[in-house]
Amino acid sequence: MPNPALANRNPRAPQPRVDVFENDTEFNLKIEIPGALKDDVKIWVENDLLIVSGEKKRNISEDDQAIISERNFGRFQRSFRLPDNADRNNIEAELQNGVLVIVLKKSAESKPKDISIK
Amino acid sequence: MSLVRWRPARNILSIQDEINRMFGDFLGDVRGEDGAMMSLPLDIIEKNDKFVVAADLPGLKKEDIRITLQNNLLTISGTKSKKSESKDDAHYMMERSFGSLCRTVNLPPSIDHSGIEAEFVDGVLSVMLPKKEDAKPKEIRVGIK
Repeated sequence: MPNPALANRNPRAPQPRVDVFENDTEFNLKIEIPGALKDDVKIWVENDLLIVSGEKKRNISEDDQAIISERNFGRFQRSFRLPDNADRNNIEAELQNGVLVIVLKKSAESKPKDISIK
Repeated sequence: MSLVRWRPARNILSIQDEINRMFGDFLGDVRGEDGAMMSLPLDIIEKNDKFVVAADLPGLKKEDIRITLQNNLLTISGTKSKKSESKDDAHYMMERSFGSLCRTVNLPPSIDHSGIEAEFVDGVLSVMLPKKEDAKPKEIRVGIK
């Protein structure tokens, strides 16, 4: 059965660009979705995948005439495999100037520990 | 009679060239100073009373964006900096691009330059360019005797 979240996706539209990086305490995902509204974006965890899906709606009325049309609209979805040390219960997301920032905390036991010499 | 091999892709490319030339002629050179064409995708929408130029600028702040109008050329430029990440971070995916962006569009002559406004919401810059009074569509009622 096809994934319903992908049903209306424009297959020609490039998917949003993402940066993923980690530091000692957390993973950071930054996804570029300019113009997307908070209510049109959904983030969920399914098995080992973090899935971000949503829709960018075009705000244009019938009387308007497009002279240049380069921006992408329509459904998008991206998924990311969660590393073992990502704390699934400690995920925060925020929209900042068209960039969706998702912060995944690392589980406590995976953080680098200094071991002192006896 | 010589045979010419049919290459469908060639036709598609020439159609794309035609479209580019058509829009290029109509709107002037849409390329930025540095030739970075698609790094700043934009829409131009004509409404009844104005034109709206909308540009995707995710990750920029209001202060990073500069809009200038010289003669009849509207230039949108900005710098997308990467300062929030430290050097120690390990990257797994790097698809986003950073650096300076620039696009120039040739405006139609019917714009009222004094009424131009811009706003920046959710990573999208919208520049509203009102039409001059005499360029707005008017309805004239003609009475029948």
